Amino acid sequence: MKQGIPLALKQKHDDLRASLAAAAKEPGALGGAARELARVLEPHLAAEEKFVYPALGLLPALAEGRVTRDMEEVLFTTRQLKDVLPAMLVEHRSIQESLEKLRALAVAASRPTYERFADVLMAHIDTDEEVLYLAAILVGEHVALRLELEHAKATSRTVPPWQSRSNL
Amino acid sequence: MNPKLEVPKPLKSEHEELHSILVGAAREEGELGAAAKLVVNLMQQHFAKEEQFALPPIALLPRLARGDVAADMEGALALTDRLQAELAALTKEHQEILMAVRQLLAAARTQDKVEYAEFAEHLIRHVQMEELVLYPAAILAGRYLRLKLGLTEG
Repeated sequence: MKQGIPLALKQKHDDLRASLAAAAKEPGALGGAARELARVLEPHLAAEEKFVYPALGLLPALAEGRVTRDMEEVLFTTRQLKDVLPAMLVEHRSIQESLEKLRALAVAASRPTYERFADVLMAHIDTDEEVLYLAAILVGEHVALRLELEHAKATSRTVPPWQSRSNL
Repeated sequence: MNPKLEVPKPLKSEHEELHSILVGAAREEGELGAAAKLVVNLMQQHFAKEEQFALPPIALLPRLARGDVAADMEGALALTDRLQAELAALTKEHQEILMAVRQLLAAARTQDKVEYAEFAEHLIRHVQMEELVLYPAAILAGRYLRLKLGLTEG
């Protein structure tokens, strides 16, 4: 199964990485806060790209009603997502704490670019929690259910005639 | 419709923010202001439709993701059916909006307004995100709900 990551989401992550890399080059406390944030943010973004975004790549096909046997692979990813979800939410709290520090320093240093970056990342976290993580889990639930229903249908069709209820 | 089904807060906030920045851009002089006015006009009705039937079904996701499916959610199917029926029209509106946003981007670059150029790029990504993630997620919520409730396609 080819699970492409939706390009708009990947670009958003890359923009966040680029902004944070620029902030991390700043001298003083602002740069220090950005580097501290980068330490918690980068592994988190990588986890999202591994456990969340591939499932979202299936959304257009599923919305059109297409489910294929090879989509079964996504179930491995979405089950892992359910397992790591509590830890990912804890990481969000830690990212938010670091972000608040960075934002306060950006305000104090009159650096609106970094204030804006903090606001964008805060909003991104809310969207992750209220939409994207849940949509990825739904992808797994839907694929599992459709494959189960199709399997049940196929099994009932292949019952040998001598076992068929109509022959009893 | 389920009265509790509202556009999730982060999505509503994003719409409000986009609108507010566009209104600011529309006050600019020259090509930039003209392009922004066109985008505002195109977006206004489009946002209203999205908030009426395309985005509220996303509010089902928390319950669906934890396996909580109940008959009280059936009202959402009217919204997801409408979204499916109007998907082609919404996508066509996106194409018109994107054409106007590209004019806005070009004008912002010409007038050296970096913040509006970045905004235009953000808006392009917002449209892509809706088409590839949000609309399909809302439709999928309806499809999944139907399967779980044992209902046939609308």
